[in-house]
Amino acid sequence: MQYYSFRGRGYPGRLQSWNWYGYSGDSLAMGLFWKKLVRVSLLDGFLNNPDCLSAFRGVGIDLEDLLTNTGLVIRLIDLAFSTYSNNALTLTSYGQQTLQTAYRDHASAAAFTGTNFIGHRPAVTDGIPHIFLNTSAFNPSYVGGRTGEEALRITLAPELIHAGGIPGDHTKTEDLRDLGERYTDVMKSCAGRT
Amino acid sequence: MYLRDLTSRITAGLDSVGSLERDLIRVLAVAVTALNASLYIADLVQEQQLYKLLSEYDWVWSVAYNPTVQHFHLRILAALLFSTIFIWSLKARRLIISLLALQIVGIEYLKWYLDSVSTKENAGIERLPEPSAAGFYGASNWDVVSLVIAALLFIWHLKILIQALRTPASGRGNNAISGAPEINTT
Repeated sequence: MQYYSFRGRGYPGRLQSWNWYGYSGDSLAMGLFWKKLVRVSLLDGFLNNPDCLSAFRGVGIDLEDLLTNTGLVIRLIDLAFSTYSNNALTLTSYGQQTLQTAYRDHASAAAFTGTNFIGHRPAVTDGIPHIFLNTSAFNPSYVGGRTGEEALRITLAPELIHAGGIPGDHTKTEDLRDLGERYTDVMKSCAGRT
Repeated sequence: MYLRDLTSRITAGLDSVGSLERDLIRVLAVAVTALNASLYIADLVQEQQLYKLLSEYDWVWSVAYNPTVQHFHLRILAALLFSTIFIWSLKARRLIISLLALQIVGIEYLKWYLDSVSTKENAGIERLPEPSAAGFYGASNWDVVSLVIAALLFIWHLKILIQALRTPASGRGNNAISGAPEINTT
Protein backbone atom coordinates (compact mmCIF):
# COMPACT_ATOMS: atom_id res chain seq x y z
CA MET A 1 0.00 0.00 0.00
CA GLN A 2 1.23 3.49 -0.78
CA TYR A 3 -0.05 6.37 1.21
CA TYR A 4 1.71 9.17 -0.58
CA SER A 5 -0.21 12.10 -1.80
CA PHE A 6 0.55 15.41 -3.32
CA ARG A 7 -1.36 18.36 -2.12
CA GLY A 8 -0.75 21.94 -2.74
CA ARG A 9 -1.52 25.53 -3.05
CA GLY A 10 1.39 27.74 -3.95
CA TYR A 11 3.39 29.34 -6.69
CA PRO A 12 4.06 27.05 -9.61
CA GLY A 13 7.74 27.93 -9.42
CA ARG A 14 7.78 26.62 -5.89
CA LEU A 15 5.76 23.54 -6.63
CA GLN A 16 8.48 21.22 -5.47
CA SER A 17 8.40 22.75 -2.02
CA TRP A 18 4.68 22.14 -1.63
CA ASN A 19 3.46 19.96 1.15
CA TRP A 20 4.38 16.33 0.90
CA TYR A 21 2.15 14.02 2.80
CA GLY A 22 4.04 10.90 3.68
CA TYR A 23 2.83 8.44 6.25
CA SER A 24 4.75 6.05 8.43
CA GLY A 25 5.83 2.90 6.66
CA ASP A 26 6.46 4.56 3.32
CA SER A 27 9.75 3.85 1.70
CA LEU A 28 12.20 6.53 0.65
CA ALA A 29 12.01 5.17 -2.89
CA MET A 30 8.27 5.76 -2.94
CA GLY A 31 8.75 9.34 -1.77
CA LEU A 32 11.32 9.97 -4.48
CA PHE A 33 9.06 8.38 -7.05
CA TRP A 34 6.17 10.56 -6.04
CA LYS A 35 8.30 13.68 -6.34
CA LYS A 36 9.39 12.54 -9.78
CA LEU A 37 5.75 12.07 -10.73
CA VAL A 38 4.90 15.63 -9.82
CA ARG A 39 8.03 17.07 -11.40
CA VAL A 40 7.72 15.21 -14.65
CA SER A 41 3.99 15.27 -15.06
CA LEU A 42 2.86 18.50 -13.50
CA LEU A 43 5.90 20.71 -13.97
CA ASP A 44 7.38 19.57 -17.27
CA GLY A 45 4.17 18.38 -18.84
CA PHE A 46 1.80 21.10 -17.74
CA LEU A 47 2.98 24.15 -15.80
CA ASN A 48 6.31 24.74 -17.55
CA ASN A 49 4.74 24.14 -20.92
CA PRO A 50 3.31 27.40 -22.39
CA ASP A 51 1.45 25.51 -25.14
CA CYS A 52 -0.26 23.40 -22.52
CA LEU A 53 -1.24 26.38 -20.38
CA SER A 54 -2.61 28.05 -23.50
CA ALA A 55 -4.59 24.91 -24.43
CA PHE A 56 -6.09 24.83 -20.94
CA ARG A 57 -7.08 28.49 -21.30
CA GLY A 58 -8.79 27.38 -24.51
CA VAL A 59 -11.18 25.21 -22.50
CA GLY A 60 -11.68 28.03 -20.00
CA ILE A 61 -9.31 26.86 -17.27
CA ASP A 62 -6.46 28.82 -15.76
CA LEU A 63 -4.28 25.91 -14.73
CA GLU A 64 -1.87 28.09 -12.76
CA ASP A 65 -4.79 29.53 -10.84
CA LEU A 66 -6.19 26.06 -10.22
CA LEU A 67 -2.93 24.92 -8.70
CA THR A 68 -2.00 28.12 -6.89
CA ASN A 69 -5.32 29.38 -5.56
CA THR A 70 -7.93 26.65 -5.68
CA GLY A 71 -5.53 23.87 -4.78
CA LEU A 72 -5.55 20.24 -5.81
CA VAL A 73 -5.02 16.86 -4.21
CA ILE A 74 -3.52 14.01 -6.24
CA ARG A 75 -3.38 10.63 -4.57
CA LEU A 76 -2.96 6.99 -5.25
CA ILE A 77 -6.32 5.33 -4.83
CA ASP A 78 -4.89 2.77 -2.38
CA LEU A 79 -5.14 5.54 0.15
CA ALA A 80 -8.86 4.86 0.38
CA PHE A 81 -8.02 1.62 2.21
CA SER A 82 -5.82 3.19 4.86
CA THR A 83 -6.87 3.37 8.48
CA TYR A 84 -5.86 6.99 8.93
CA SER A 85 -8.44 9.42 10.20
CA ASN A 86 -10.86 10.95 7.73
CA ASN A 87 -9.26 14.36 8.24
CA ALA A 88 -5.80 13.03 7.48
CA LEU A 89 -7.15 11.40 4.34
CA THR A 90 -9.25 14.49 3.47
CA LEU A 91 -12.02 11.98 2.68
CA THR A 92 -15.33 11.62 4.46
CA SER A 93 -16.57 8.13 5.33
CA TYR A 94 -18.84 8.31 2.30
CA GLY A 95 -15.96 9.33 0.01
CA GLN A 96 -13.76 6.57 1.39
CA GLN A 97 -16.46 3.93 1.06
CA THR A 98 -17.37 4.81 -2.52
CA LEU A 99 -13.73 4.87 -3.57
CA GLN A 100 -13.13 1.48 -1.97
CA THR A 101 -16.04 -0.03 -3.90
CA ALA A 102 -14.86 1.49 -7.16
CA TYR A 103 -11.27 0.39 -6.61
CA ARG A 104 -12.04 -3.13 -5.43
CA ASP A 105 -14.27 -3.99 -8.37
CA HIS A 106 -12.68 -1.99 -11.14
CA ALA A 107 -8.94 -2.41 -11.57
CA SER A 108 -9.28 -0.89 -15.04
CA ALA A 109 -10.41 2.47 -13.71
CA ALA A 110 -7.24 4.51 -14.17
CA ALA A 111 -8.32 7.66 -12.35
CA PHE A 112 -11.23 9.29 -10.55
CA THR A 113 -11.72 13.03 -10.17
CA GLY A 114 -14.23 14.62 -7.85
CA THR A 115 -15.07 17.01 -5.08
CA ASN A 116 -18.07 18.12 -3.04
CA PHE A 117 -21.11 19.54 -4.76
CA ILE A 118 -23.63 21.79 -3.06
CA GLY A 119 -26.71 19.83 -2.07
CA HIS A 120 -24.95 16.46 -2.24
CA ARG A 121 -23.28 14.31 0.39
CA PRO A 122 -19.76 15.61 1.04
CA ALA A 123 -17.00 13.23 -0.03
CA VAL A 124 -13.89 15.27 0.77
CA THR A 125 -13.20 17.16 3.98
CA ASP A 126 -11.38 20.17 2.50
CA GLY A 127 -13.68 20.92 -0.44
CA ILE A 128 -10.94 21.11 -3.06
CA PRO A 129 -10.74 18.91 -6.17
CA HIS A 130 -9.23 15.45 -5.71
CA ILE A 131 -7.67 13.22 -8.34
CA PHE A 132 -7.25 9.56 -7.35
CA LEU A 133 -4.85 7.57 -9.48
CA ASN A 134 -5.06 3.82 -9.85
CA THR A 135 -2.09 1.61 -10.75
CA SER A 136 -3.45 1.29 -14.28
CA ALA A 137 -2.77 5.03 -14.76
CA PHE A 138 0.90 4.04 -15.03
CA ASN A 139 0.31 1.41 -17.67
CA PRO A 140 2.51 2.04 -20.73
CA SER A 141 0.05 0.23 -23.00
CA TYR A 142 -2.74 2.58 -22.01
CA VAL A 143 -2.02 4.73 -25.02
CA GLY A 144 -0.26 2.21 -27.21
CA GLY A 145 3.13 1.27 -25.83
CA ARG A 146 4.37 4.65 -24.67
CA THR A 147 6.35 5.23 -21.47
CA GLY A 148 4.70 5.31 -18.08
CA GLU A 149 5.31 9.05 -17.73
CA GLU A 150 3.53 9.76 -20.98
CA ALA A 151 0.70 7.45 -19.99
CA LEU A 152 0.42 9.33 -16.72
CA ARG A 153 0.32 12.70 -18.49
CA ILE A 154 -2.40 11.35 -20.75
CA THR A 155 -4.33 10.22 -17.68
CA LEU A 156 -3.80 13.50 -15.84
CA ALA A 157 -4.66 15.89 -18.70
CA PRO A 158 -8.41 15.14 -18.84
CA GLU A 159 -8.57 14.78 -15.05
CA LEU A 160 -7.11 18.28 -14.66
CA ILE A 161 -9.83 19.56 -17.01
CA HIS A 162 -12.42 17.96 -14.72
CA ALA A 163 -10.63 19.36 -11.66
CA GLY A 164 -10.89 22.76 -13.32
CA GLY A 165 -14.66 22.45 -13.13
CA ILE A 166 -15.77 20.76 -16.35
CA PRO A 167 -17.82 17.60 -15.67
CA GLY A 168 -17.62 14.69 -18.07
CA ASP A 169 -20.30 13.02 -20.10
CA HIS A 170 -20.70 9.81 -18.08
CA THR A 171 -22.14 7.94 -21.01
CA LYS A 172 -18.92 8.08 -23.04
CA THR A 173 -15.55 6.42 -22.56
CA GLU A 174 -13.78 9.62 -23.57
CA ASP A 175 -16.09 11.85 -21.62
CA LEU A 176 -14.65 15.17 -22.81
CA ARG A 177 -14.95 14.54 -26.53
CA ASP A 178 -17.78 17.09 -26.64
CA LEU A 179 -15.15 19.82 -26.19
CA GLY A 180 -14.02 18.97 -29.71
CA GLU A 181 -10.80 20.56 -30.94
CA ARG A 182 -10.21 22.31 -27.63
CA TYR A 183 -9.92 18.91 -25.93
CA THR A 184 -7.70 17.61 -28.71
CA ASP A 185 -5.49 20.67 -28.20
CA VAL A 186 -5.04 19.92 -24.50
CA MET A 187 -4.22 16.28 -25.17
CA LYS A 188 -1.76 17.22 -27.90
CA SER A 189 -0.04 20.09 -26.11
CA CYS A 190 0.10 18.60 -22.60
CA ALA A 191 0.25 14.86 -23.20
CA GLY A 192 1.67 14.61 -26.72
CA ARG A 193 -1.32 12.64 -27.86
CA THR A 194 -2.42 13.39 -31.38
CA MET B 1 8.15 -30.01 -52.42
CA TYR B 2 9.39 -29.87 -48.83
CA LEU B 3 6.05 -28.52 -47.61
CA ARG B 4 4.21 -31.36 -49.32
CA ASP B 5 6.56 -33.82 -47.69
CA LEU B 6 6.14 -32.19 -44.30
CA THR B 7 2.37 -32.15 -44.73
CA SER B 8 2.29 -35.85 -45.50
CA ARG B 9 4.45 -36.54 -42.44
CA ILE B 10 2.15 -34.47 -40.21
CA THR B 11 -0.85 -36.27 -41.70
CA ALA B 12 0.78 -39.55 -40.80
CA GLY B 13 1.41 -38.21 -37.30
CA LEU B 14 -2.19 -37.07 -36.95
CA ASP B 15 -3.46 -40.44 -38.22
CA SER B 16 -1.62 -42.11 -35.39
CA VAL B 17 -3.41 -39.95 -32.80
CA GLY B 18 -6.04 -41.93 -30.93
CA SER B 19 -9.69 -40.88 -30.98
CA LEU B 20 -9.65 -40.10 -27.24
CA GLU B 21 -6.69 -37.75 -27.69
CA ARG B 22 -8.39 -36.09 -30.68
CA ASP B 23 -11.54 -35.50 -28.66
CA LEU B 24 -9.55 -34.20 -25.71
CA ILE B 25 -7.70 -31.67 -27.90
CA ARG B 26 -10.97 -30.46 -29.42
CA VAL B 27 -12.62 -30.16 -26.01
CA LEU B 28 -9.64 -28.23 -24.60
CA ALA B 29 -9.57 -25.90 -27.62
CA VAL B 30 -13.30 -25.16 -27.34
CA ALA B 31 -13.13 -24.83 -23.54
CA VAL B 32 -10.26 -22.33 -23.56
CA THR B 33 -11.94 -20.29 -26.31
CA ALA B 34 -15.23 -20.26 -24.41
CA LEU B 35 -13.39 -19.30 -21.21
CA ASN B 36 -11.76 -16.33 -22.92
CA ALA B 37 -15.05 -15.30 -24.48
CA SER B 38 -16.51 -15.26 -20.96
CA LEU B 39 -13.58 -13.21 -19.66
CA TYR B 40 -14.00 -10.69 -22.45
CA ILE B 41 -17.75 -10.42 -21.89
CA ALA B 42 -17.07 -9.97 -18.16
CA ASP B 43 -14.74 -7.06 -19.04
CA LEU B 44 -17.49 -5.40 -21.08
CA VAL B 45 -20.02 -5.89 -18.29
CA GLN B 46 -17.56 -4.50 -15.74
CA GLU B 47 -16.97 -1.43 -17.89
CA GLN B 48 -20.70 -0.77 -18.04
CA GLN B 49 -21.01 -1.34 -14.28
CA LEU B 50 -18.25 1.18 -13.67
CA TYR B 51 -20.12 3.88 -15.58
CA LYS B 52 -23.34 2.94 -13.80
CA LEU B 53 -21.56 3.17 -10.45
CA LEU B 54 -20.13 6.50 -11.48
CA SER B 55 -23.59 7.89 -12.18
CA GLU B 56 -24.56 6.93 -8.63
CA TYR B 57 -21.60 8.76 -7.07
CA ASP B 58 -22.72 12.32 -6.70
CA TRP B 59 -19.22 13.60 -6.03
CA VAL B 60 -17.25 11.98 -8.85
CA TRP B 61 -16.80 14.14 -11.92
CA SER B 62 -15.18 11.57 -14.07
CA VAL B 63 -13.43 8.27 -14.35
CA ALA B 64 -10.67 7.37 -16.79
CA TYR B 65 -11.10 3.81 -18.02
CA ASN B 66 -8.02 1.85 -19.06
CA PRO B 67 -9.09 -0.83 -21.56
CA THR B 68 -5.68 -2.57 -21.76
CA VAL B 69 -6.77 -5.82 -20.06
CA GLN B 70 -9.94 -5.86 -22.15
CA HIS B 71 -7.84 -5.56 -25.31
CA PHE B 72 -5.50 -8.36 -24.24
CA HIS B 73 -8.55 -10.58 -23.66
CA LEU B 74 -9.96 -9.67 -27.09
CA ARG B 75 -6.73 -10.40 -28.97
CA ILE B 76 -6.20 -13.70 -27.10
CA LEU B 77 -9.82 -14.67 -27.80
CA ALA B 78 -9.45 -13.91 -31.52
CA ALA B 79 -6.27 -15.99 -31.80
CA LEU B 80 -7.78 -18.89 -29.83
CA LEU B 81 -10.93 -18.83 -31.94
CA PHE B 82 -8.79 -18.99 -35.06
CA SER B 83 -6.76 -21.86 -33.62
CA THR B 84 -9.88 -23.80 -32.57
CA ILE B 85 -11.48 -23.47 -36.00
CA PHE B 86 -8.35 -24.74 -37.72
CA ILE B 87 -7.57 -27.54 -35.30
CA TRP B 88 -11.10 -28.92 -35.38
CA SER B 89 -10.61 -30.99 -38.53
CA LEU B 90 -7.12 -32.16 -37.48
CA LYS B 91 -5.68 -31.71 -40.96
CA ALA B 92 -1.98 -31.18 -41.48
CA ARG B 93 -1.91 -27.68 -43.02
CA ARG B 94 -4.59 -26.46 -40.66
CA LEU B 95 -2.50 -27.72 -37.77
CA ILE B 96 0.34 -25.43 -38.88
CA ILE B 97 -2.03 -22.44 -39.05
CA SER B 98 -3.43 -23.36 -35.65
CA LEU B 99 0.11 -23.52 -34.28
CA LEU B 100 0.79 -20.00 -35.60
CA ALA B 101 -2.41 -18.75 -33.94
CA LEU B 102 -1.33 -20.31 -30.64
CA GLN B 103 2.03 -18.57 -31.03
CA ILE B 104 0.13 -15.28 -31.20
CA VAL B 105 -1.66 -16.25 -27.97
CA GLY B 106 1.74 -16.82 -26.35
CA ILE B 107 3.03 -13.48 -27.63
CA GLU B 108 -0.03 -11.72 -26.21
CA TYR B 109 0.49 -13.29 -22.77
CA LEU B 110 4.17 -12.31 -22.92
CA LYS B 111 3.24 -8.73 -23.83
CA TRP B 112 0.71 -8.68 -20.98
CA TYR B 113 3.34 -9.89 -18.50
CA LEU B 114 5.96 -7.36 -19.67
CA ASP B 115 3.31 -4.65 -19.59
CA SER B 116 2.52 -5.59 -15.99
CA VAL B 117 6.20 -5.42 -15.05
CA SER B 118 6.47 -1.95 -16.65
CA THR B 119 3.31 -0.80 -14.90
CA LYS B 120 4.72 -1.92 -11.57
CA GLU B 121 7.98 -0.08 -12.21
CA ASN B 122 6.24 3.05 -13.46
CA ALA B 123 3.96 3.16 -10.43
CA GLY B 124 6.92 2.63 -8.10
CA ILE B 125 5.25 -0.25 -6.29
CA GLU B 126 6.69 -3.57 -5.19
CA ARG B 127 3.59 -5.65 -5.75
CA LEU B 128 0.72 -5.26 -8.17
CA PRO B 129 -2.69 -4.74 -6.58
CA GLU B 130 -5.28 -7.50 -6.78
CA PRO B 131 -6.42 -8.92 -9.11
CA SER B 132 -3.02 -9.76 -10.59
CA ALA B 133 -2.82 -13.55 -10.83
CA ALA B 134 0.65 -14.89 -11.72
CA GLY B 135 1.98 -11.36 -12.15
CA PHE B 136 -0.48 -10.35 -14.90
CA TYR B 137 -2.04 -7.02 -14.03
CA GLY B 138 -5.83 -7.23 -13.87
CA ALA B 139 -5.78 -11.01 -14.41
CA SER B 140 -7.92 -13.46 -12.46
CA ASN B 141 -7.13 -17.12 -11.74
CA TRP B 142 -9.21 -17.99 -14.82
CA ASP B 143 -6.62 -16.21 -16.95
CA VAL B 144 -3.98 -18.52 -15.51
CA VAL B 145 -6.17 -21.54 -16.32
CA SER B 146 -6.51 -20.21 -19.86
CA LEU B 147 -2.76 -19.74 -20.16
CA VAL B 148 -2.09 -23.29 -18.95
CA ILE B 149 -4.60 -24.83 -21.39
CA ALA B 150 -3.26 -22.73 -24.29
CA ALA B 151 0.27 -23.86 -23.37
CA LEU B 152 -0.85 -27.52 -23.34
CA LEU B 153 -2.43 -27.11 -26.77
CA PHE B 154 0.74 -25.45 -28.06
CA ILE B 155 2.90 -28.28 -26.69
CA TRP B 156 0.62 -30.85 -28.30
CA HIS B 157 0.89 -29.08 -31.67
CA LEU B 158 4.67 -28.96 -31.29
CA LYS B 159 4.77 -32.65 -30.38
CA ILE B 160 2.98 -33.58 -33.61
CA LEU B 161 5.22 -31.26 -35.62
CA ILE B 162 8.46 -32.54 -34.05
CA GLN B 163 7.35 -36.15 -34.52
CA ALA B 164 6.74 -35.39 -38.18
CA LEU B 165 10.14 -33.75 -38.58
CA ARG B 166 11.86 -36.69 -36.91
CA THR B 167 10.15 -39.23 -39.06
CA PRO B 168 12.77 -40.85 -41.32
CA ALA B 169 12.74 -39.57 -44.86
CA SER B 170 11.27 -42.87 -45.96
CA GLY B 171 8.08 -40.98 -46.60
CA ARG B 172 9.82 -39.08 -49.37
CA GLY B 173 10.80 -42.33 -51.00
CA ASN B 174 7.59 -44.09 -50.20
CA ASN B 175 7.54 -45.60 -53.60
CA ALA B 176 4.95 -48.15 -52.70
CA ILE B 177 2.53 -45.28 -52.20
CA SER B 178 3.65 -43.22 -55.16
CA GLY B 179 3.63 -46.27 -57.34
CA ALA B 180 7.17 -45.81 -58.67
CA PRO B 181 9.04 -49.03 -59.41
CA GLU B 182 11.79 -50.05 -57.00
CA ILE B 183 15.23 -50.42 -58.53
CA ASN B 184 16.97 -53.61 -57.82
CA THR B 185 20.70 -52.89 -57.59
CA THR B 186 21.81 -56.46 -57.05
